[in-house]
Amino acid sequence: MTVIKASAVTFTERSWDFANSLSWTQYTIDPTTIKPHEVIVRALTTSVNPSDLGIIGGGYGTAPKLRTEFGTAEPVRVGGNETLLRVEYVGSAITNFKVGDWVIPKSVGFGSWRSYAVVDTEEDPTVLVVVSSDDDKDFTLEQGATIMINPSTAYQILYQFISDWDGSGNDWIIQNAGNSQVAKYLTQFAKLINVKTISVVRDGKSQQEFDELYQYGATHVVNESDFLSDDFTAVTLPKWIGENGRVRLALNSIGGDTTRQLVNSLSQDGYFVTFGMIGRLPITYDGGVQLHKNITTKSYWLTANTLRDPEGKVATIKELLKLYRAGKIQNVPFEKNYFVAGKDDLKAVFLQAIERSKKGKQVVVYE
Amino acid sequence: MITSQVVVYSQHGEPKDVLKTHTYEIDDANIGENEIIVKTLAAPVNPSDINQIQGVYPSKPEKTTALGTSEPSAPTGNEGLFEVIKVGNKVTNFKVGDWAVPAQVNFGTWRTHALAKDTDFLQLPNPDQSKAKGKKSGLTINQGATISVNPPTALLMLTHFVKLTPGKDWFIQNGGNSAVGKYAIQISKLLGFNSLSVIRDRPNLQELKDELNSLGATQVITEEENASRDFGATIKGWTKDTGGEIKLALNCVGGKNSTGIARKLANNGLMLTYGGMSFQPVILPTSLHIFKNITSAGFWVTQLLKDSELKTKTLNQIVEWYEDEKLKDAPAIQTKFEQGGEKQLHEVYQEAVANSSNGKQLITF
Repeated sequence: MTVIKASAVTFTERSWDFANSLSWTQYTIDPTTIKPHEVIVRALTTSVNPSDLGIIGGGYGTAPKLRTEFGTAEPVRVGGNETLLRVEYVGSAITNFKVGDWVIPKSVGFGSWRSYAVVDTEEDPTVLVVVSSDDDKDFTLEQGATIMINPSTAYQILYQFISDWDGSGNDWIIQNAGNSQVAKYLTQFAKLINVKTISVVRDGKSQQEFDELYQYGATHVVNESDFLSDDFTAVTLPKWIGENGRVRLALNSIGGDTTRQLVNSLSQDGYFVTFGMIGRLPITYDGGVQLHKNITTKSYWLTANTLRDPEGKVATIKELLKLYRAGKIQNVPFEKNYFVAGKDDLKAVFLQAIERSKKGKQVVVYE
Repeated sequence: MITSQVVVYSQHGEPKDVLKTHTYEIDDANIGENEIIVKTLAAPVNPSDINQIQGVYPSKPEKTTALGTSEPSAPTGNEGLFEVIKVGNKVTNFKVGDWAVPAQVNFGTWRTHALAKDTDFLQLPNPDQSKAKGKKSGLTINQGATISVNPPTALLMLTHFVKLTPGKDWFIQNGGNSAVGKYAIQISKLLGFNSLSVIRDRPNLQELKDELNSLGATQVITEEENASRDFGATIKGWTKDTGGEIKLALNCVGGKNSTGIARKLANNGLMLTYGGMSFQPVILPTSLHIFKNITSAGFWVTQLLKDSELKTKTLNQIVEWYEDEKLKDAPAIQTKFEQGGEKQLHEVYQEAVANSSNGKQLITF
């Protein structure tokens, strides 16, 4: 067993000036010193999500803990949450993991911007969740890389507020940010239970982008200015959903103008759920519509759900794995940023991913 | 034969343009066995009555020719106090002399008399009945005529959705000076909850504060104070002193005021929006909503009180507080209608609608 050379992207002070605040920290792990309850994992992929940037930059959650394990002169922090890991070594007392298993962290705040980690399982043997393995070709690296957050969010939102979806095709969901990863997964999950979806997208999207959403199963895709016109609620929507149609769930991850019209689009007793804050704009809607249609405004936050009910998150992952393995879910593509150990500077790879993250989901892939 | 008059409209529009008085006869000699005849004691003007006539309210009575109008017409008014003057021989829940309020909205209360099914009304004690029970006081006409909307709104918002712990927990409201707001202050005091009322700064601020304090307000603050970071520490001190949390926010204003009170909610708090059609939009900051897991819901008393068991229970509680002189009703400006007098009934109501901006209008009969 040779000593492992590993890399992490670390910081001490929270700052949005990532080029200056982040450091490339190199460290070693000696597998021969592994303790009985430890597992050494190698990162296959690590995502760069907006919430990671908020945690590292400041303004979202609290700073990750200070770590001394890298042998740095001063303790440092590691950000990042979503990752797919491969088990490389297991301690003598480990029975539930084997070398070659692909695992993800059960909870939040793993500190995933690093190529290797030593995970202590003594307190909680289920701190890692097995999702696949080297030999398991039914669940791929592409699927595993992003299972922790976007599909989990979409799946939980679909069922957390409404549990009695009517599969007869009369129940509808309307969502802004129709182009987002979450929206693309939600569209697919809804389609599986015959719930129809309307996805609102920014103006100026190409036919190809519309077609992509239809291909995931969107019933209708509408651009923002058509959605915001009075005609939408007066004419278009009633025509689309028909006499017996009910818009039961409206999903918001942007805020601003579209929130008013999302609430207007809901049918009696509908739920308006906010789960993201891309635009940082407030939620604004007509209180009269709310009270006369008995509309409830709720929020959804995966992190809070996971911390409150970790086993609930595991159950979600297991449901998702079933759907993926049954071929019922298409993986939503993301952009890959490759890191080759011994050649690339991990900080540079992450900075590139951060820069590109405005355009879409970014994943660092460790070659 | 009883000559009855009722204010109706056959087309939606402004009350001054579309209201008419329809006169018809009630044959009191041939009353059905489950029917009752009531005469009106008083019926107020509420904003929702006006919105119904304008056609902009989501719940409205059907237009029919049941009353013998030439065109299909709808009766007006939703709240009112009536006295039972005749009962059919199988009626058990009413006797002559009982007071009564409509069991549901859309009954049409701007009228002199009505022939109705015994299930169309709920019984309230008349003052003699209250005295016979040994109560301190009987209901006044104003209390009875305005018991169906505002007091239940306040009571149910405080109790139906969130469990506040007496002596500890708080609610915050931005309509402390409204009729519902004043009932909420008094009822929260009766139930042992702490109230935090946010009011607009005004020249006679202290006068209003004194009035709300005399009703039992725990704290009354201005919008500026509510928005101030420094003052936030004072509020935190108050809730800490009682060992409770601000679990409920009552919004009837909208706009920045809705944001202001939502910000004061504890984690997992609930904001209820109630009130008329004309308020500004509700505005919630996204981060607050997500990270504090705040729920915002509408409260529409009309919908909730379709559950007649709940309505009976709620009204009984309010009647008891009135009889025990524990609750003060919101005053109304009263005008007496004389049947056969100079003005027709719809003209009296048209004037009352026009005067609504001066305060709640109550027509007595």
